[in-house]
Amino acid sequence: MTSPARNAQDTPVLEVENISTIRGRVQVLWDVSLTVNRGETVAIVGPNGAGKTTLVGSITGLVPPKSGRVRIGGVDVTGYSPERLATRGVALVPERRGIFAPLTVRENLMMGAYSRRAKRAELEADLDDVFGLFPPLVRYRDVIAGSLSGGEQQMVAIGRALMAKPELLLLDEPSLGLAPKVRAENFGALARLAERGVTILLVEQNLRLAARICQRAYLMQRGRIVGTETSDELARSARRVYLAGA
Amino acid sequence: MMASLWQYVLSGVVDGAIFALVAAGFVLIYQVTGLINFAQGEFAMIGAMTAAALATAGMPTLAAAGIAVLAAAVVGALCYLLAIRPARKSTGVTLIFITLGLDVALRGLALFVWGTNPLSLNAFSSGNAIALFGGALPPQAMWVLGSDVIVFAALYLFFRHTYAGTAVRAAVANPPIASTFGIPLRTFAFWSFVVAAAIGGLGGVMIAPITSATYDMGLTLGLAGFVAAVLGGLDSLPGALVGGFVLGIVEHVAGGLWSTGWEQGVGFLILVLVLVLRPQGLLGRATRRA
Repeated sequence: MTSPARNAQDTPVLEVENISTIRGRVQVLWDVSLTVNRGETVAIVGPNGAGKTTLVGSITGLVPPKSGRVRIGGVDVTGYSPERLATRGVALVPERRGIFAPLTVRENLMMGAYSRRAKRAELEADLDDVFGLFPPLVRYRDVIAGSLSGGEQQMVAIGRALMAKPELLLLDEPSLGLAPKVRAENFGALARLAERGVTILLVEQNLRLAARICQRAYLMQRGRIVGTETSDELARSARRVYLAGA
Repeated sequence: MMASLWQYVLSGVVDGAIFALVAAGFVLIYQVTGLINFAQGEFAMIGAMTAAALATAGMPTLAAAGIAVLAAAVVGALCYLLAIRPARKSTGVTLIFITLGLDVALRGLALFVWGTNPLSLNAFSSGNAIALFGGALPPQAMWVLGSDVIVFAALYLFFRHTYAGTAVRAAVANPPIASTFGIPLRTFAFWSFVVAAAIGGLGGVMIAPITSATYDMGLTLGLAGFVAAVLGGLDSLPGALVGGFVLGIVEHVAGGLWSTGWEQGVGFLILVLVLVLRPQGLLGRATRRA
């Protein structure tokens, strides 16, 4: 959907600097820093409870950090509300999809473009683009999204985020609860998006799937970044984990 | 006997149409903010009293009615900005108590401004009663029913066929995720109060020529509107319409057949039955959020 210039690849789209976040009375993130450059696909991997979803919340403004800085496209957006952040080109595919269940597929997709205030003709063209990426959605265009299967709802959630024409696409556990075949299809679509140059930050527990589309990964544990890996290293780690579990 | 019963039904339809308008205000605010606004009946009182006071001062009836609806909308906006928004991070119970406080405050303000004497408002059109299958409706009833048609049709068209209306439905379905797409939850909450107050005010203006206007009419209308909204399902605008008419007809039939003392009692009995047998109301959804 977005076509960032390749020569701008070293420009950071997202910079997270030493953020610490508290949820309720518990500190979940401790001095987390990371960078995602334009056109890159970066993964955040780690076990359950590592703080990955809280990190996504801190970036999107849903769970504002207690300290540290978040920059989008060089602009300090720390403390921005989610609504305001949406206008800076951040789009989220939330954990467990978070679709607007009573709305139709088409209405869900259109809501993704709310912050753009684009003309109807432009939106229709973007809708066609999303339907091109996810052909199964075409026949469900006017179906209530809540009645779709988990995999189809995931397509709606990704499509809705793409309608925002995001500078940064955040995906929180997109493989969660999906059948292997559906996961593979959806990650195929994500790989095509990555090839188009969409900047992606992917939070994922499934190392093999993450390694398929990311260029590098941050490893998270107990609220801290504990290392970084290239996609090849991540694929090897995934194999080790797989063999250890076999 | 049958002729009397039919007349009770017709009278109930007129009252039910007003209850439906007040109930629509309850549902609108509940859908958008999750809050039950117990001051909703007072918006109807503001509409009725303002229109009657302006007309008494010499203003043409329709102009007074228009200004009264605007006045109710302004009061709704002020209620949200001065009382609800500053406390938006409070618990639901606290917010409900704030709306109860607003209800008392608005009634007190009306008592202070207009006193205890009822004010009358001329019917919007003159003429004889309209005969309908042996019963009769006052000419003002057509204005009341016409208001319902216009308000509910406008709300339906807004929610189903406009981009902003779809965004409101998205915000109702999943508020945090809607906010990540730039959907302005607080702006919608503000407008839900303004529109609900205007609709309530319209209800008050419409019924004032039939019942006259008093500073405490909001209490009865608010209670009836709340019962109608719960009857129909708090998250359903069609439910508000159905709930309003069911309540109006049941109250009038019970009051006519037995005694007027039964009117509200039977209305509440129906409410209890619906809550026991179908807690989500007649047209409400069993679960309302994704």
